[in-house]
Amino acid sequence: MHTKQTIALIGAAGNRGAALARNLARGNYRILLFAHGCDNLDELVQDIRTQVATADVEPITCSTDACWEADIIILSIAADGYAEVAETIRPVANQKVVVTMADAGAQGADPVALLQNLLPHAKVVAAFTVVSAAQLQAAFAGGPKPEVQVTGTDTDALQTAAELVQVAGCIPVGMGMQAIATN
Amino acid sequence: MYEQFFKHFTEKVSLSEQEMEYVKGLLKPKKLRRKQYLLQEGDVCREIGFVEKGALRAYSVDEGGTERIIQFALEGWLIADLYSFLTAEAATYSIDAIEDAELLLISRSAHEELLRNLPQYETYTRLSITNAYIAMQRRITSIISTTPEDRYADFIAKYPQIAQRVPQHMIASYIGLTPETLSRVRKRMAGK
Repeated sequence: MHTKQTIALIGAAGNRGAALARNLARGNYRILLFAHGCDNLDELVQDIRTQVATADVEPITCSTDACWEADIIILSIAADGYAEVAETIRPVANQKVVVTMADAGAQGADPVALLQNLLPHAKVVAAFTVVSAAQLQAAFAGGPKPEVQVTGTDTDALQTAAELVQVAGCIPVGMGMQAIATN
Repeated sequence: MYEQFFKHFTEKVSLSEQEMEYVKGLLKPKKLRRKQYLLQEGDVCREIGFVEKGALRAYSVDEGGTERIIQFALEGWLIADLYSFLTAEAATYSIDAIEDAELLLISRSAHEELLRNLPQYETYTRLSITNAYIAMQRRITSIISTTPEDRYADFIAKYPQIAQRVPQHMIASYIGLTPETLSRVRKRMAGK
């Protein structure tokens, strides 16, 4: 694909969010970084630009605008913050792929189902749920590629998430991932 | 966010509140900054764009690198590489934003779902395509049978808003003139 896709990464100040942003910056993506109540994203942006010369990444101060511009929305926040975020992005998330990085085990409820309920017209998919910032950093440096479980029901969303996982230097696994990975 | 879309839609066919909500759920709101691509030649066109705000163009690039603009789209217009959208073959046109834009995108699956479930959408689509077809016939007639002066005058008369918002070299491309020829045409017309 030649057309650059825009990603809104919500929760970019966290270790995993920041690491994922850096890994994805190598792909053909424009990445908008947002973190609630956080103004030190400039440092992260500079850091990514230094490490990835071709990076198209910038901080953004409004989550609604970030998600309005985005084709893909990644939530790198705990699932208990979903209700609040969903309120601000619901009108602009319709028909978009929304990736949850929250771990089902830690939260007790299935984050995909929770988020799908909050964003009924979005295409929700789970990925990077248990991968650590250290694993992502190692993959960035050319080290071992961690396996990343991709789960969801929408075919488009699964395909998009599998591509994100591959660009991030990881191996997508899960239902139907083998077919996607060999395409 | 949906103002222009439903204004244009309900000029053609009526919709209940409930039907509007259903349609909203199938549209993807997307902001595009100036010079960003909605579609690049070679990719499959997966969505039709409806312009809520801003201006876009669709164009091809010839072997010499010259851009040939086939369509502009302002508020209330649709833009896509329709052949690619319907066949899933690679697009021969690129589409980008001339101004910061707000779009509503209709995917192939949303398009098909709406055609199946909402008869008004079929009517809206038929009327939109019919109008676009007529506009294209007129455009071809203008390009093959009139002088550069007439072509430019036609364009200004038909699309005064585009003429005000779009740079001259893009207008030249759209009406099939080089920027130099258009510049001479404009001088001659100004001198009359």
